[in-house]
Amino acid sequence: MVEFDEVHNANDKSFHFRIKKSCTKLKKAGYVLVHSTHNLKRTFIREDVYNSLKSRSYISSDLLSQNQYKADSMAIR
Amino acid sequence: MQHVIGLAKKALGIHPQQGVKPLNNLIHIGSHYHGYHLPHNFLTSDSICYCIGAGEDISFDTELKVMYDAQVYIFDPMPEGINHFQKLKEHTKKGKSLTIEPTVPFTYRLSEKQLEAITFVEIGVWDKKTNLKFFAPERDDYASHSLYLFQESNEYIEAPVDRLSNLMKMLGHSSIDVVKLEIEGLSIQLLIRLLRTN
Repeated sequence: MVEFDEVHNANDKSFHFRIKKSCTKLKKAGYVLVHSTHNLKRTFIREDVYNSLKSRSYISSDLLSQNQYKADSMAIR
Repeated sequence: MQHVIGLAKKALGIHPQQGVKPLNNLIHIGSHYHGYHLPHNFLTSDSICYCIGAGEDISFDTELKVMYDAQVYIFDPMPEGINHFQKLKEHTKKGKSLTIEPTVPFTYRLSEKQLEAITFVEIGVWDKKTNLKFFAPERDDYASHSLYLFQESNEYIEAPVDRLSNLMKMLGHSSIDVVKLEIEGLSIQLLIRLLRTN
């Protein structure tokens, strides 16, 4: 998980492209981007783990209830 | 206007959702602002989680312990992070709750035993073992010192940093399941350095 907090504290206007470049490097290193907020808090997963997780079951309601926030307030994709 | 900005970002290839691949079983863990999405069926009590950068919100880190009983290691050499962890320890010991983030409140919910099982390492992560200057925040709404931001500030703290591989060796780990990288203004540089050196 990476927080690109240049979004909040930009020293110049090129930060979007620097973030894009580093994400591209991560992808080339074998990681898959599986989630991004509009503020670019991002989750990357190693490709082999991603492929393994993709074939597993959907989220259970039991686990949702473990989270502190209500299910409908969470951005579950 | 937002629609136009969205289209422009897509055209430039910098839209936040560009390049995101679908995964159905993601769950939000931690507070609204400092939480992350992880696959729910990924972590177990054997999972080793390195949370690099604590500051005054370790909700994601502590929830990994609460929800999965994972092995959690927090790295932060700055007083904000160290003091916040200590404050949480004191609250938990007294049986008092600690709520953070006034706009979307989050209340820590781990037990004293769970908190004791979390290791706080007062060392930062970098591409070599050294001491670095962390500059004091120049904004009232900004809690943390930074290596990258606020360099015009004359106020700084020198603190130890080390390579991720050295820290793993020190803690007896040969692999890590989760790395959270939340270091003020430096995520890009550190990511590139980690990819080069680890």
